[in-house]
Amino acid sequence: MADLFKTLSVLILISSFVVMAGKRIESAVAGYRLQSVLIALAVGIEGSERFAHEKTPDMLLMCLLIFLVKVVWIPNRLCAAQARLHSASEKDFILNIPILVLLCSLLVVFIHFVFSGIEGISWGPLHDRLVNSVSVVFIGMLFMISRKRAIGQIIGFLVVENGLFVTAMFATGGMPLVVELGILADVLTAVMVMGAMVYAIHDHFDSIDIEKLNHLKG
Amino acid sequence: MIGITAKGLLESALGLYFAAAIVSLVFQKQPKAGVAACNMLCMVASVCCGAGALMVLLARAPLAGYSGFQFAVPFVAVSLQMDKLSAFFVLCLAVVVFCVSLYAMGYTRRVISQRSNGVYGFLYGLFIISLLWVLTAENTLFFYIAWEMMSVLSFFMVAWHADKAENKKAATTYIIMTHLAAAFLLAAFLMLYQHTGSFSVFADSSGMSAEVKNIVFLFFIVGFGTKAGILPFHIWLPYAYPAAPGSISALMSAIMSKTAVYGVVRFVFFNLEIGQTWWGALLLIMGLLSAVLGSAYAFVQTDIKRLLAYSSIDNIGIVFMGLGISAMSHTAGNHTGAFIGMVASLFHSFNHALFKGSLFLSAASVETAAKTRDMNRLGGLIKTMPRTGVLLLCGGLSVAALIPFNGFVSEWMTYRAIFTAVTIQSEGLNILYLVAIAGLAMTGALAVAAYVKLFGIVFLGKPRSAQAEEASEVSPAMIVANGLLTAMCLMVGVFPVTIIQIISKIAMDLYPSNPMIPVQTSSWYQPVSFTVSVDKIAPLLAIFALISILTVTILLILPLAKNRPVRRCVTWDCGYPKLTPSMQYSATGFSKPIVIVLRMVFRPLRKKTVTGSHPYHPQGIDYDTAAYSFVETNLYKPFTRAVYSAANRMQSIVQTGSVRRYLGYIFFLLLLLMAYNRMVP
Amino acid sequence: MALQIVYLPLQLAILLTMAPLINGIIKKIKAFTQKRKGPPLLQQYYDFIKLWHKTPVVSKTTSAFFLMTPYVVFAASLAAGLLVPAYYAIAPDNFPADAIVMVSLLALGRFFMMAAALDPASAFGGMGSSREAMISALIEPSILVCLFTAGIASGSTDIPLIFSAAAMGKISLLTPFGFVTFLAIFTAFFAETARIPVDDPATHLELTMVHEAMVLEYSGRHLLLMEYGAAIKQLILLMLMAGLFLPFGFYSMAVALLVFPLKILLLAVLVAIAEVATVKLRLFSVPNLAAIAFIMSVLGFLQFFMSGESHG
Repeated sequence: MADLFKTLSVLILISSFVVMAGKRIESAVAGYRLQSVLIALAVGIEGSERFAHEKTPDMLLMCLLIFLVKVVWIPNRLCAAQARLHSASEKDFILNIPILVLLCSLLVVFIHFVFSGIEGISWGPLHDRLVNSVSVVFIGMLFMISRKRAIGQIIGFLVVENGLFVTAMFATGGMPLVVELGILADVLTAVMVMGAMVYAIHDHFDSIDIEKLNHLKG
Repeated sequence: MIGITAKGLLESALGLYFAAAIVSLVFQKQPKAGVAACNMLCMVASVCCGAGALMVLLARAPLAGYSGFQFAVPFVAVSLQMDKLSAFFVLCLAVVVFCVSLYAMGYTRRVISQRSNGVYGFLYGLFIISLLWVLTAENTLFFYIAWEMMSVLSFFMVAWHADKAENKKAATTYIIMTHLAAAFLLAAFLMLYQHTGSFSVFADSSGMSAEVKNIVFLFFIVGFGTKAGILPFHIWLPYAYPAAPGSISALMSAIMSKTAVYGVVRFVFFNLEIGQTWWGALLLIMGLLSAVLGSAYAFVQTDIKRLLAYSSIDNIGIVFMGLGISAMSHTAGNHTGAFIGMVASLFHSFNHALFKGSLFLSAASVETAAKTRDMNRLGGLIKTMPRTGVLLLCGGLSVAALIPFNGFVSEWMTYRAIFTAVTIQSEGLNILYLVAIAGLAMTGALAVAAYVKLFGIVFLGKPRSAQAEEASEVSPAMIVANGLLTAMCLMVGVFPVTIIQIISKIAMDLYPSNPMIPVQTSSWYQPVSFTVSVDKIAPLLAIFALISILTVTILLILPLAKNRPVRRCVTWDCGYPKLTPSMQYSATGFSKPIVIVLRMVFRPLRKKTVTGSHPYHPQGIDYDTAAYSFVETNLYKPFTRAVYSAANRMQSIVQTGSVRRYLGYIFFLLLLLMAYNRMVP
Repeated sequence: MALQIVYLPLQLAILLTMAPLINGIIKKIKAFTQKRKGPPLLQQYYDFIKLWHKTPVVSKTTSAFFLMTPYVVFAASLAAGLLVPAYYAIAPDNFPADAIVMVSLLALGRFFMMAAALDPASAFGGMGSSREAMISALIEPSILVCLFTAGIASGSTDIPLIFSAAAMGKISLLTPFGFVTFLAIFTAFFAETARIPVDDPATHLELTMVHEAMVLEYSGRHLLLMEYGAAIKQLILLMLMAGLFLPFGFYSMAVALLVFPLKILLLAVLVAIAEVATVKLRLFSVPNLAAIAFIMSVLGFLQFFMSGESHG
């Protein structure tokens, strides 16, 4: 079982690389969809395990919700937004994709280095899983920084959220259902608000390049 | 024992002040009754807390600390105490508040009533409570809360006439400076707690290392120095004091600045105990700078209240000089110097509360009567306001350290303290003492000049404007209140022994190892003398000489001169037929020579614009002159300018407005923190 | 001990009789150096008598303060004079003759004189008063530093005690410290007594007047008191210098009191010579003079500690 989780955590990490490597928004969204599938899978495995032992369906319910929201609804919405804005052609990253991917792997090394100094998780399976999931958080942030167009920031934010969720799950074996539901609701709201903002930016500047926002500075 | 205790008196005083604040709000619709009730209650309360303070001062045992009320927050309780030091300052407060409240009976109704009398009385009552709490807090956190309360309430008072732009600016500067200072105080208190494990004001600091003590000392100096208004933290003071309503200016100058002196004595002397020689040297140098520059700037002012405000800086400087000498002598093992310095400094605080309270009240009277504070528009008021004139003259004589009044005695003691501090062992420090003597002498001469100017320009000569001509004497309550303070100045100046004995008990508490018995004589009318030195001063005898000579001269001359009565004539006019008031020396012109001589300090601005086409036949010449404080222009202005330009540069480099850049800051900060955490276990 | 009873009458007599004489002596010597005959020695007494018989004319603009001032100025000077003994040994034991009390009494007189000058609302008074404010602010530090140094040397700020220490040789004109301190006090003397090079007592020119401008509106007995007060103040400063730097002849009271006028005479001659030898300074050059006085007073203080006199 531990091996399975380890494999899953590595896969989740790789999926974030995929997100980062996507040149077009559509491919980044696809990477995100993949990552969410993997997370749902991990939650589902953990949940069925729990259900078998403690008869608590919380995690299974969670798995279902994640699947519905993160795998189906959010990616679809993002794709729809992208289609509506037709701004596919321009190059929207600040550095070359290979360099960005290289930076991501450096980040993983750095996180490993940091975690190896923390008592209790300096080695062992938990260490590996945590390094992988925290790396996802940082890669998400790097993604947000590297993309110029507003949708990129939304995807980056979602990856960060995924990373945090996975970290929490691996570190504590899942948070209480209420908390998870709250976070999920937050993500939903955030996506809706940010989506609305993206449209507003587009209407105002005829572009969703967030560098245009610099003019708003006082 | 059943009966009146100091604790009971203190509590009832607090209650009465609070009642005054509430009553004032309740009777908002009936201003007459409200003002009278509020001020009456304040006066009764002042009698209570004055009596309580006297009980503590005259008794042997201090009023032990006790908690009036415990908040839910740990460590924070309304815990009060009143030892001799606190009691002494509470006594100052009681005396001044009593007189100011009496004054306010006449003043408030006339001046404040354009606005809400109720709110004014409410703030007034709370302000006094906060002052009282600062002086009696037993716990540093409560002290800090009371301190902030005092700052905010006085800010409201400074901003009372905020409809004028300059007052708004004064209030802003004040609140910024006072909050910066408070931050230093809070840091100092927390460091004290960290190293002593106690929030009590009596915490034992013997376990602290010298380095920590040094830092805490510096924090205290910045924190308290700002409130006291010593250089270079004084910039708010000359604007804030004049902006507040008259009776509040009196309270701020007389009492609020003393809370800072209290703080320094309490925390630096009692709590930290003087560690190193440079502490005292720093106090002395800052005090000296404040005294000399304060009196110099006071001399050149043309606004009555601003002159008094600068003069407050001067006097607080003298107080700090006394403290510095006390500290330096203490570290040098010179008990006499340490003792006299402390007594001189506390005595001067007391005297300053009396005469500056009186002077600010006189200034408020002038402002009420003549509707202006600009000395260039006043003049000749002694004919219409003779009583206020005499009171202001007496106040001026006190603050200029002239002989029958109290200011002289404490300044003489400061001189004596410096004299005692000079020893062969102190080597290089002697130079500092020498400079201190010279500075004090110059301060004295400039103070004489400043108060000659204040009295001479405002009350003598001819009125310089119609308003000044139409001024009439203020109400009896205002005269009596002010007269009480002035009478006390004279009493203390003539019979200083009792009060010096009271103060020396505080100094004995502070330096318990001091072997000497401070004041030799026991009867109140005797000359003051210190057993350790053969010198003595007897203002009483000098005054006796002065007054008897004066009387004899007058008695001899007047009867003999009866057959040659004074003939009244016009002022000699060099044959020019009409002397107008504008031909008198103006307030600006009076201090011009000093401004020119000390232009390094004053940075005078002179601007001459000639209108008209031909240089030899100008149609008009405009001449502008003003003197600026060089601390303001050379220390604070460059600083604020640097902050602004740095902020502008930051805006273009760091704060670009790019969302991704901000995200990048967060990202790299996180990485940095993680790396730091890894590197430093 | 019995001699102490005569102290006050003696001081009063010396101050009242000798003060106007000093001006006569100085004027005579000045005239002598200028190959003139000059006014008689007792001229100021004659002036006083004449002033006494004149009806005082007072400006209509003035208040009671103006009338009160001459009395205060005179009384303050005289009271200050009581603190500077002509012969220290007969000063009563508990007499409060502190140097700073003396300075403060003189300052009281100055306060009233400066303020009263503003009362007639004429430009002259304001001018004199404002110039006096500047000069006193610059000169005061030197005087106090000198007194302070003398006090340190003798271990007290009590004038009779300082004088007795001087008589015991603790302050001597022959030591660098004593000499420099004397020069400082001597320089300050000219500013304090309104003499050349700071002020010119002989002219009524508005460019140069300081003291004269302040008393311009006084006449009759009021002027008498003001001038008498100024003369006493001048004598006090001379007595101070005599006590500090000419401490000899104290064999008995009779000898001391005989030698005392000679000392004052010697100092008066010095003053006259110095006054003749210099020119009136521009008002804004007075700070340079004050700076010289101050530097010398500081040097005196430093010399005291450096030359080892403090150890003796």
